[in-house]
Amino acid sequence: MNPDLAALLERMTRDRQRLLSLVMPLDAAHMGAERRGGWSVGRVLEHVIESEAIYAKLLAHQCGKPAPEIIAREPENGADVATQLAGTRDAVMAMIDGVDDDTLYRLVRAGHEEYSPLSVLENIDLHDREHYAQIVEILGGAAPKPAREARDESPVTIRAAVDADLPRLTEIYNHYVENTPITFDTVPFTVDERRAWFERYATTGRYRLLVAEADGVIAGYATTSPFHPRKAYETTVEMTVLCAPEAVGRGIGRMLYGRLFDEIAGEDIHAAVAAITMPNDASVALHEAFGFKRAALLEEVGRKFDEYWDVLWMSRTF
Amino acid sequence: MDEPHVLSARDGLLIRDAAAADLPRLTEIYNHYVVHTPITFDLVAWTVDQRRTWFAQFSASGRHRLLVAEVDGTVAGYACSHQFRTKAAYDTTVETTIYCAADMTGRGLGIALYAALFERL
Repeated sequence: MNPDLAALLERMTRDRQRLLSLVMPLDAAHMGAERRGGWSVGRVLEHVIESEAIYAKLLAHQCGKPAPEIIAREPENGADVATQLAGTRDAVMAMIDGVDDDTLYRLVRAGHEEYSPLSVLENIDLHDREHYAQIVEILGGAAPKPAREARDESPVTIRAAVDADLPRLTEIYNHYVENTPITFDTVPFTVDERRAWFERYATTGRYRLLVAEADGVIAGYATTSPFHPRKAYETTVEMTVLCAPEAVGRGIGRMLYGRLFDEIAGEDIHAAVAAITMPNDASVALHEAFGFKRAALLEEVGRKFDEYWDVLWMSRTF
Repeated sequence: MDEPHVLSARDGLLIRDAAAADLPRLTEIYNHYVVHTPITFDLVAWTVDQRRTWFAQFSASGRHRLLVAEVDGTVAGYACSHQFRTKAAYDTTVETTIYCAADMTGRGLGIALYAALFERL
C-alpha cells in the first residue's frame, strides 16, 4: 500500500477508536448536553457522521466510483453513533480501495477548494480529533467514567495464583483457544499439559501470575512472561490478561494489571510488551491506560479459523 | 573511494542450501556478532556443538530454510527463515535472518541470499 495512505489510515483508525471509546458509553441524556447557544453533543456527532458521508461522496467523485448513499441522522446514543460511523467509514474505505498513487495525490476542484483523496482523508481524521475535544469540553464532569468498575457484583480479590487454580485457569484459557483468535493456540490444553506454563511463574522475580477471584471463583488472570529466549531480552516481559467470558467489562483487567504493575515494580524489568490480535478496542484501551504505546502492526501473521489475523504489538518502558 | 564491488557468479559466488559441514563456519560468523555487536541479543558465544539444535530446525524443503553464500569455496554469509512464535496459528509466519561475515559486507551477498531464499519459499 502507498506509505502515505497507510500512515494516514493508521492515524484515522487510532483517532476514530479514541472518539468511539469516549462516545460509546453515552446515553440519550448525554446526547442532549449542550452549552448555551452551542450545539448539543448529539448534533456535534451528527455533524461528524454527516461530514464523513459527504467526504465519501467527494472521494467517489475523485476516484471515479459511484457515490454511496448515506443518510446521517441525529444519533440516539453512543451505540447509534458507532453504528452510523461504521457505515460511513466502510463507504470511505470502499472509495479508496484499489485506487492508484496518481489518483491519491491528484488535486480535484470541489467548490472553492481543491482536494486530493489524501487531503480528504486528512480532513476526516481532523474532524474526529477536533470534535473529540469539543465533546469532552461540553460534557465536562458529566462524562461517564471510561472504566466500568464492578457495579453491584461481589467484591474482587487479586492474589498470586496457587496450584489448585490450574484447572480453572486452563478452562478460561481454553475458551479463548477454541472460540476466539485472541490467542494463537489452536488446540485446547489438558490441565496436565498446562503445567509447564504454570511453572514458569513464581511469587518473586520477573514472572508472575495473578488471579482475580469473585465469590470464590476465578474471574480472570494476568501474567508477566519471558518475551524472548535470547539473553539480552531478559529485562523485557510480555504481559497478558484474560477474563472469563462472563466477567468481561467489570474492570477486572484493570484491577489485575494495576496490581501486577505494583508487584513487579522492584524487579529488574525495563520494558513490557503485549501482543493483541486485531481488532480489540477494549484491550488496546486497557494497555494504553497502563502506558503502552502502539509499537508495530504485524499484518496477517496468524491463521486461525481459516482467516489471517493482524497482531498489534504494544510496548512501554519503565 | 571506489564503489564496493558487487559479487556475482563470475566472482565465484554460489548460493546453496547449507550442509552439516558448514556449521563451524556459520557458528564463527554468528559469534562475531554475538561478541562485538548488539545486532543479536545473544550475549555468549556458542560452541559448534551448542549450535546444532539451531541448525537442526532447517531443511531443504518446507518453511524453514537455511541458505549459505559461498565465495571461492568459503562461506561468506547465510540467510534463514525460521519459526516466529511457537503458537500454532503463527505457523504461516516465518522470521527471516541474514548475516554476512564481517569482512564480506557491502558486496551484495545479502541481496543475493534473500532473493534466493524468497524464491525457495
